[in-house]
Amino acid sequence: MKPTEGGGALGLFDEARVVGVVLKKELVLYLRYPVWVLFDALMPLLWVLSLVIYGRALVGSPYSENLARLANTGDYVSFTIVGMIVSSFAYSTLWGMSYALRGEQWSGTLESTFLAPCSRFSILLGKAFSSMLTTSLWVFLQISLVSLVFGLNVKFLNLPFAMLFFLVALPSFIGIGFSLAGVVLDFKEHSAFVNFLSSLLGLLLPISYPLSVLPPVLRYFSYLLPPTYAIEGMRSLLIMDSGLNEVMGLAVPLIFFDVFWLSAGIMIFAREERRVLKKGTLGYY
Amino acid sequence: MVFHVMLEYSVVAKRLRKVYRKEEGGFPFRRKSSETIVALDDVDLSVKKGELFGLLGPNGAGKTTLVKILSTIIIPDAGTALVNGHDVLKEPGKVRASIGVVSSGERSLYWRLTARENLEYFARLYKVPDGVARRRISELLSLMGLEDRADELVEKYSGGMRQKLAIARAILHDPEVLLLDEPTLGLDPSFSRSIRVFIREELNRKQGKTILLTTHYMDEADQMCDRVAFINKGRIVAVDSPEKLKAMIGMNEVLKIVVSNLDEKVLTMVRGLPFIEDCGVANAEQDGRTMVRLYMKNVDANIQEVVGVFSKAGCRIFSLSIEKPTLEDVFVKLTGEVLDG
Repeated sequence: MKPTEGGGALGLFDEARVVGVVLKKELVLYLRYPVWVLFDALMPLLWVLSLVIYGRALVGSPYSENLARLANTGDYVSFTIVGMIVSSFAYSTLWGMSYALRGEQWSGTLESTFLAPCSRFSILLGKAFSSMLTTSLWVFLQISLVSLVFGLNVKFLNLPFAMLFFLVALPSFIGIGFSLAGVVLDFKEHSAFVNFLSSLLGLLLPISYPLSVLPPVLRYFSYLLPPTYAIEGMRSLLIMDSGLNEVMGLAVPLIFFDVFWLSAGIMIFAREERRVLKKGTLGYY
Repeated sequence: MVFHVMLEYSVVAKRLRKVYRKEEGGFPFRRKSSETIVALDDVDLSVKKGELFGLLGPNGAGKTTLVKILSTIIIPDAGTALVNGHDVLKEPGKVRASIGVVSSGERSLYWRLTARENLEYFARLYKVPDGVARRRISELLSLMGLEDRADELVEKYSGGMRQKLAIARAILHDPEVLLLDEPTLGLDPSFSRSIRVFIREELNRKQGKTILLTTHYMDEADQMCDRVAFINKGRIVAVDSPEKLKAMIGMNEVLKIVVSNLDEKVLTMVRGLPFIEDCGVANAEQDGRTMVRLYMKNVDANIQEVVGVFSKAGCRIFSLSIEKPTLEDVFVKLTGEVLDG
């Protein structure tokens, strides 16, 4: 009794247009909740400011000898902000997909959306891209403010390479997002799950400290996470002025993760969707 | 044979079965309970092309499950279903492209988008070309009487306006088949009437769409449908035109009595009268009043005796009327149960 999943009635061009219209709809809806927009703008600023001020209180200056020894840069403000930026994009892709489907279940629109003959992955991608677009805006604000108040030593000439490197990491984030969206579709209770995962990633990812300070067991887990390589690679390009050839060692595992997580994400989402359709609980909240 | 079925019928369901198993506990300790609910039990159903077909049954009878299986958002445990010649399990994308679905309730639209934005969004999901979508959205908004408020947020709409918009969304891509699940549920009578007229006259008669409509309002099914299927506890009990179904009762009139102080003893006495063929008790009790429908021959000749039994038993009679048999009478006769609502 297995159905052929995923619509399949639309061509690639139509699916791309579905991604676009979902992105547009998400942005319009987002802007219609101005309080959310305000909180979303302020929260990352508060997080990064508290980390930077904490660092200054511990070190007493913008430069840390200890960090320089561990991470090849003593500029902890720049070190932290690049970590925050990359992790913000990773989180926005992951949570953008899982939160958005749950939101549709709450609002009652998931069934009417899934009744359309387009691919579910186009809908998920539209949601992820909209989330990334808003994140870009807040990241730009973060960078501007931190540059203004604390000064930021970022090699802006390397920005295109850093973006290219991020694009290499993106498919793995999307694949993990597909998996999370599938799990949330079935298990519903996603807040506790996502909060726990956020805290776990906050510990394991080298956002505000270098990997070398993590206990070895945790470090191994960190190496299993694609955002770890994305943060390390982009930090290397944006702060340490590395060339593309110097971050290739980090890009290779990312490409492996891309293939693995995209395949796993598609399979997990399709399996979870089928479970939900069998249980008859697609629209349940 | 299959080709013949495809030509003549838009919807064909064969031995559809769906059993829900309850779950206990929360994530990650959720487990399946041994308690099950049989939502559909070997359901066979065929809806002809261009037909307005009603699925009539009480709440929980399995109507919504059947519509959701036909619209590919529930997978059956057994059986097959074809919609527009496409198998719901093997070609869900083609099925979705050829159907429009309206469900009861008002939450299937984005309340923080305008009516126009909602329609533009769904037009793209259904691959309606931009030019066609613009024209069709204008036409539909006008047809539904929503053009003056097309650029208002849906959250400001009344329930009836939202339901009209939901219908507009369902027919935006001009599907051949419409699955309407309780489309007038919770609407005030004037909105319900206008929606019924629109479904029957515009969508079915004028545009020739095949419509499968579920309802638990007998009047709705009686007025609108070419054929009606009764569904109860997951099983199809009878299928025919409303007129033929009503003729099944075998009599032209039904005696309807509203009484108080009714108990099982009085009912047994009434049922024991030699001319009484059957008796239905409605669940609509108000201020201790109960509606009893008596199926009997020669109502005029026997009415005094019936009144006498109720009076002697201490029941107060509030109203007495002789009516034509309704679909509800047929349902009561076939199942021994009443349609709620």
